[in-house]
Amino acid sequence: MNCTQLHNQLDDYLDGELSAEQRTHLETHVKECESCRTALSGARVIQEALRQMPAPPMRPGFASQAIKHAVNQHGHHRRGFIAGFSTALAASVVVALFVGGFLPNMERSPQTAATPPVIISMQQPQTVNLVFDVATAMENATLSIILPDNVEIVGFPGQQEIAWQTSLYAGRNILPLPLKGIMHSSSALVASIEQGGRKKSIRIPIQVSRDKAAPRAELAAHRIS
Amino acid sequence: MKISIFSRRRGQDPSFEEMVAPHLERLHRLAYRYSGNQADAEDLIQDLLVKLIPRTEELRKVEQLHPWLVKALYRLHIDRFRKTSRSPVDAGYDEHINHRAEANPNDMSPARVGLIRDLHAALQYLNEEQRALVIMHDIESYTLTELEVILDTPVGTLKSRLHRSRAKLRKLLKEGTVSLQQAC
Repeated sequence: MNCTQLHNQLDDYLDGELSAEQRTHLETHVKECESCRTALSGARVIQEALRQMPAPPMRPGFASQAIKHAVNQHGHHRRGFIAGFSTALAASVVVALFVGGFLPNMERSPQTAATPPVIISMQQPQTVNLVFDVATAMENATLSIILPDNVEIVGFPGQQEIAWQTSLYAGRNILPLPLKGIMHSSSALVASIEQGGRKKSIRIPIQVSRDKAAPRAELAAHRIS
Repeated sequence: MKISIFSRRRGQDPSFEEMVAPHLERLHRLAYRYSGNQADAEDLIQDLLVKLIPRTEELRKVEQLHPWLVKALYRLHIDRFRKTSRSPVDAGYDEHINHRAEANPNDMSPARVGLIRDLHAALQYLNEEQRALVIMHDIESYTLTELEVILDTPVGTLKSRLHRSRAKLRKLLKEGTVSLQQAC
C-alpha cells in the first residue's frame, strides 16, 4: 500500500469497513510511514471529538408543552371531528369535554353545551358516552358527575353525585354512562375533571322523555373548549 | 399500574403523544445541532409537531417511526434554512462546552475542549448537505443504512459525501486552528 491508497481508505478504516486483508495492509503501511501515522492519528482524534460534541438536554417540560401546543392548535382547526366520531359510536349520545391545555386554576361556572339537550327515555336505560379529549395524559385526576334529579345512573339509584379518582390517556377517553330517566322534565348534568386544584366543568342539558328514545334523534355532539 | 375508569380509544390506537414523545429528546438534539441554538431548536421541534399532528393516522401506520420523524425534521430544517439562510452559530456554545468539560474533567481535557470548539466552528464551513450528514452520522451515530432511508440517498453516494466532508474538516483544522498532536 502507498500513501495515496491509505488516504483513500482512511475513512473506511475508521468506520470499520475494510476487510481483514485490507486492514492488515493499511496497518503495515502506517507502521512504516510517519506521515500516514500522523494523518491516521489526527483523523481518529477528530472522529472521537465529533462523537463527544455536547448538546444541551431538552429543557424540562418542553416536550409536553410542545405537544400540548400542537394539540391545541390542531384542536382549533378540526371542526366536526366529534361528528365523525359519534357515527362510530352507533346509537349512543356523545358529549365531549375538550381539555386542550392546562385546566383553569380556579373553579369557574360550568360551561354549557350550546346544542340541543340529550334526550333520555323513561322507558329504557340509555348510554351517554362522555368523551374527554385531553391533550396530554393526566394522572390522579378526579372525575365527578353531578346528576339532576330527573335521571339516575343505572346501578347507583338515588345517588346524585359520583366521583372517581382516575387517570386519563392522552387523546379521547370514553366514559359510558348508563342513564335512566326517572322524571319527565328538563335539567342538566355537570361533568368535571379536577387535578391539583384545577378544574374544568361542562353542563350538559338533559331532557327526560316519556317516550321510547329514537336512536337517530339522540345522536348529539357537544364540544366545549 | 395505571387504573382508569375509561375505555381505551377505538382500536387501542396510540395517541399522538404516545407515538412522538419517546423520540423527542433525540430529535431535539438533532434540531439543536442543525439550528445551532436552543431557541431555534425548540421552534423547529414545535413546527414539526404542529405539521405532524394532522397526520396522526399516517404516523400510526409507519413501521419505523424514528427514521420517519428524523426525515421529516431534516426536510423542515432544510426548508427553513433555505428561507432564512442563517448561519447556525450559537454564541453560547463555548459556555456550554466549558460547562460540560467542568462536569466531566476526565473525558474532556483542555486540548479536547479546544478541538471541539474548533470543530464546531469548522462545521459551519461545510455546505448544509455535508453538515447535516456529519451531524447525523459522525456526531449522532445514525448508520449509513439508516441515513439511506432518512435522506433518500444511496449508501455509496452518502459514503463519498461523508468522505469529502471529513476531508474538508481535516483540512480546515490543519490549516491552523488546532494542533491535532496536542489534542491526542
